[in-house]
Amino acid sequence: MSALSLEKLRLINFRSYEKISWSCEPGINIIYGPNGVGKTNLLESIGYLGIARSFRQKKDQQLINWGHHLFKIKGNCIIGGEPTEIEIVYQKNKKELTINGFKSKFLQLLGIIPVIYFGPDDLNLLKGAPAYRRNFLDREISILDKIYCRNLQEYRKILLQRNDLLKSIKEGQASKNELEPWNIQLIDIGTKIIKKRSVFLNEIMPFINSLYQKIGRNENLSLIYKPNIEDPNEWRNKIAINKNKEIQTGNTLWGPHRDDFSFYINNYDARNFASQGQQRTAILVLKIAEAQYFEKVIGKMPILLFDDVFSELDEFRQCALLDLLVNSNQAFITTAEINKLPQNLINNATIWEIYSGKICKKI
Amino acid sequence: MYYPGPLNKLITALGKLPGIGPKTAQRLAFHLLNTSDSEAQGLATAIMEAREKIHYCSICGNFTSEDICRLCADSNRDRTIVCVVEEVRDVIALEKTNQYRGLYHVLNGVISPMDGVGPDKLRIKQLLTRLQEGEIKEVVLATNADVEGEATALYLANLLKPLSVKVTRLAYGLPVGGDLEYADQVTLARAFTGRHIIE
Repeated sequence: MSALSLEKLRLINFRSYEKISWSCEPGINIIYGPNGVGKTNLLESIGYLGIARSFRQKKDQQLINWGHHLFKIKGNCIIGGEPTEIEIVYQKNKKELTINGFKSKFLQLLGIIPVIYFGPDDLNLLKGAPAYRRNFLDREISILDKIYCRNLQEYRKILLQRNDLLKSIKEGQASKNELEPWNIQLIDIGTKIIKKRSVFLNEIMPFINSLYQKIGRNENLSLIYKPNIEDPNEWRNKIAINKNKEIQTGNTLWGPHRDDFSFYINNYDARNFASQGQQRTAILVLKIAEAQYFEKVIGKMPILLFDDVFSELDEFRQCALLDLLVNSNQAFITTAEINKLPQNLINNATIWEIYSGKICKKI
Repeated sequence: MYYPGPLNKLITALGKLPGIGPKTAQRLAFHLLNTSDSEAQGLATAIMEAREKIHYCSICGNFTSEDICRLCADSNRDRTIVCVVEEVRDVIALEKTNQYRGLYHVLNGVISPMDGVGPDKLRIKQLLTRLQEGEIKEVVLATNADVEGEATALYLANLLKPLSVKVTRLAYGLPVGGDLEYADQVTLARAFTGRHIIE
């Protein structure tokens, strides 16, 4: 296994930061400061180094510090003893990536710095709309599998083209027999996506099971994949039978773009039947399981980004999280009230305070 | 405006060319102003002459100054095989390989509903007419490997199925001379799927 840690982070015009250069520490970094001071922005920039996207689902243009026209994120990491430098510059609607000084394609970035983000909004994974869960699947599987990421891009393009064609057919500007090449590709690429989502959820289950047994007090948590359609032949039939329906709505009605998955606790749908505490625990377990799964698959413990989540957890669950943190190479934890964090976490961490756009080490 | 009218007009016109931004347009315009009369005149004449004399080959859609392009007119080429490509520049790329000795057919685009391009906007009818003459035995679909290129290839494959011609598709694979370890994973995976038996 190769150790991964971020050594130095430099930001220019990213969110609330006009210019900072921060030499962070391996192990646990606690970042504190009042609300609105830019703690989450800092985690967001580290997450951006991992997948070249904001985990807050914001557009790149919105990440630029007000009044400027570009942002730059530069991270120096040590990966298995080797220094690695990643720089991403965004300007004029274009992103550029350099890895160790070489211009690179964004697909090459995936998996270099795996990160796991856990924040207050993540309860949406359980309570929110299906799109939230699909986003989660796509982001996590893309980090592990570049071919999945490429297939996803192709699938999105096929959807756009196919939906446009359906609308043209409705308006009488195209004929029905033009659909076939798009149907073939839709089902071909779509099936690949469905299979990989199913494999991912299956493979992460053992990690979830054993964790939830420990933290969830002998209850049983499972994630059930609910593909909108699974069998390519059935898919082909549905499309053939409902051709006119698809044309009328101008929308592709079957495919992984309508997938979902659910959390079940002791065989009950956690969205409707679980308590707040159980729901929080389920998400926490999912995040920890993910970290362990990533470590197994890519041989690197991901960098952990925990955004203001400790105060929400009871002591028992805090301990479970601490276990993971102790075993990680590097973690970044934000909080508004440092005295609410467990003392043994504080004792093992480097403490940083943010004020007026600067980060200072507390001794 | 910073520039006198005619200069501004020139910069705007140059800026409309593909791959030319405002800065390059300005640099080119200044260069054209400072160059000799004969050179500037030469460029203008070259543009006009090319536009006047170059048109599409009536058979394959390649650029030519005659009625039929030199590839279609070449009696040494294999007339039983035709390679279908999206653009004229693809013909040039394939010709540079010096490997292919058959004929071409340029579609002049690719199926893309988002851009309002359906099969009727491509030179597909002309292809069918050529096939009806009966001399062609194999059609090589050499459209790009993106979703639009693939859709076009699938559409054509289906259309040509009833005809008694062999339809083939270019292989996806490793760049020649490239080390396996440096190929990106997606290319490598595709090359793996398309592996074949050594005979």
